[in-house]
Amino acid sequence: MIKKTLLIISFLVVWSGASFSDTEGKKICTGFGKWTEDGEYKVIRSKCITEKEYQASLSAPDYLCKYYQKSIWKESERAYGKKQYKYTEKSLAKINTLKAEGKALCESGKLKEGELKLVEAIAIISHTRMN
Amino acid sequence: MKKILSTLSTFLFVSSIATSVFAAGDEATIKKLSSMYKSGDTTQAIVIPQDTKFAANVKKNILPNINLPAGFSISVFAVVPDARHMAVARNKTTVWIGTRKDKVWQATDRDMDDIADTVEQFAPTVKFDIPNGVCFSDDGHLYVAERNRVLWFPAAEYFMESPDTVAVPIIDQGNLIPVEEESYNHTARVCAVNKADNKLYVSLGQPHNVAPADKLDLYQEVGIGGMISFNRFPGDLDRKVVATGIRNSVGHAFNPKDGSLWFTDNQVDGMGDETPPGELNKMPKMGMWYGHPYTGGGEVRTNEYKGKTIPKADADRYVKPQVEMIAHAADLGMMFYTGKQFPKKYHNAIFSAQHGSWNAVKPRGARVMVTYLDSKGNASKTEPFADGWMTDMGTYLGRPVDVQQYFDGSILVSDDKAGIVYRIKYEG
Repeated sequence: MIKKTLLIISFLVVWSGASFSDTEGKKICTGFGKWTEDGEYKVIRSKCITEKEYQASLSAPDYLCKYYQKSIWKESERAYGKKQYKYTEKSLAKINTLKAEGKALCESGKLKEGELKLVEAIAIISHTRMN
Repeated sequence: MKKILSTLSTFLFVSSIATSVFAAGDEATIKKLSSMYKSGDTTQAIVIPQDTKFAANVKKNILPNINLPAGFSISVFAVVPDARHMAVARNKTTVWIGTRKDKVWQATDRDMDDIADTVEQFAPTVKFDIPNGVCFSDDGHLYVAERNRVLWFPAAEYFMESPDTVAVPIIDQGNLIPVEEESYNHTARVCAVNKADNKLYVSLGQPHNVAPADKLDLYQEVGIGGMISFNRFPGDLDRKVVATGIRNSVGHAFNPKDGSLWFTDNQVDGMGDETPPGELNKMPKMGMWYGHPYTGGGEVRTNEYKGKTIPKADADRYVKPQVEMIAHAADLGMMFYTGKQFPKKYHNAIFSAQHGSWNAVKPRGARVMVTYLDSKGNASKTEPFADGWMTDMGTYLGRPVDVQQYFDGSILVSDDKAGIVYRIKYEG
């Protein structure tokens, strides 16, 4: 009896949590999937945030600081992104230095200065020939 | 056919006194094929099975998720690996489908039920290099725009069942763009024939996120980051740069009503999740400029050129987009609907594919858009026509690349993720 009661309570807690999430708006998910040998499409990894959280992130003062850092990582550090460009060791080193300087400025609250450093790094990426 | 043979004879005479530079690794083959000789290559066409568990799974797992306006339905037309841009032949012979790899496919409905019965490799003895752009002229000529070559197949409809198909370079390997500018990214070419001047129009994406200043003169001269036109038969090429300031256009079509050229353009990365917008553009006259690299999409200035004065020669020719699409949706292939099957509201509307992008927190694209035109031939409204290739969990079931009209007025949609060509029809 106690077990049953606990189960019901747990269900209600989870259900109310889900309902609360729904009121925050439509979820935005990014993920990957693949076809199984049985012919089903399976989601392997998916990360969700609410529309409200997404909008809040876009209007956050440090949005560009974070966005630019992620963009630099995607294009010049992540293996898939890195191999798309004809980088030289020198250009990669310069990008890394600018990113580190930009990140430090952003973290110290100097957001505009940080953004400028990060944009400098992105400019190197932008002007590098693609493979 | 007489015209084709006559044109070929002229070409053979010209080629006998001139030396072509073929460097695609298939020089000897192309030389033989263009002279209407057998290549001697024993390569046989790869055949893609159609009635498979994979096809059944696509019908079960993808089709039910696609949302369409009332009265429309979607079905599988063909299983086509890496399906990109399409060219529909005359007289229900076949549909050619380009890829970003090394093959062109032909999907043929042999029993006239509007479903491809066979999908085979087209011209298997030709070594294609990113043969993304395929286009077919009203007078029966197939063109394939590769990364750095343009081939003419004067009798593709007649020789399509043979491994050896007459293939003639209109632009030799290495002459579409300077070899030093070759890249993998941004080299999916598209082509279309302009009925007004009977020339072939090919887009040339520029190989950077944002073109650097020291390349701009060269790019303007060659037409990289732009579009070029040239004669579609051998002889005097008469190559012209018809548009510049384009970052990477992978879809264009001529409005059959007024002859204006429209094209999509993929815009700059690294500026934000929701900026800059993608573009659907119109070329009211030749020689216009579309903003890149000074603008990243719409009228949003790129960080790299912010504060720099746009040269007057460019600014005077600037044309802003007809439609600003959502950022990073990757607008690709497009067409004007000239059929009668769809309801009147779609007549002469533009259908365009959004491939979708990973480069944004909020997944987007993976759908077919429709843009309606007003009485002056300008865009009046754009809205989704078919979506659902992206799940609520943000995963892609498919990624639409191109939209082309089929014989009966239905439309074909290619998908290079699922490797499928869909057919959307209206039954009311």
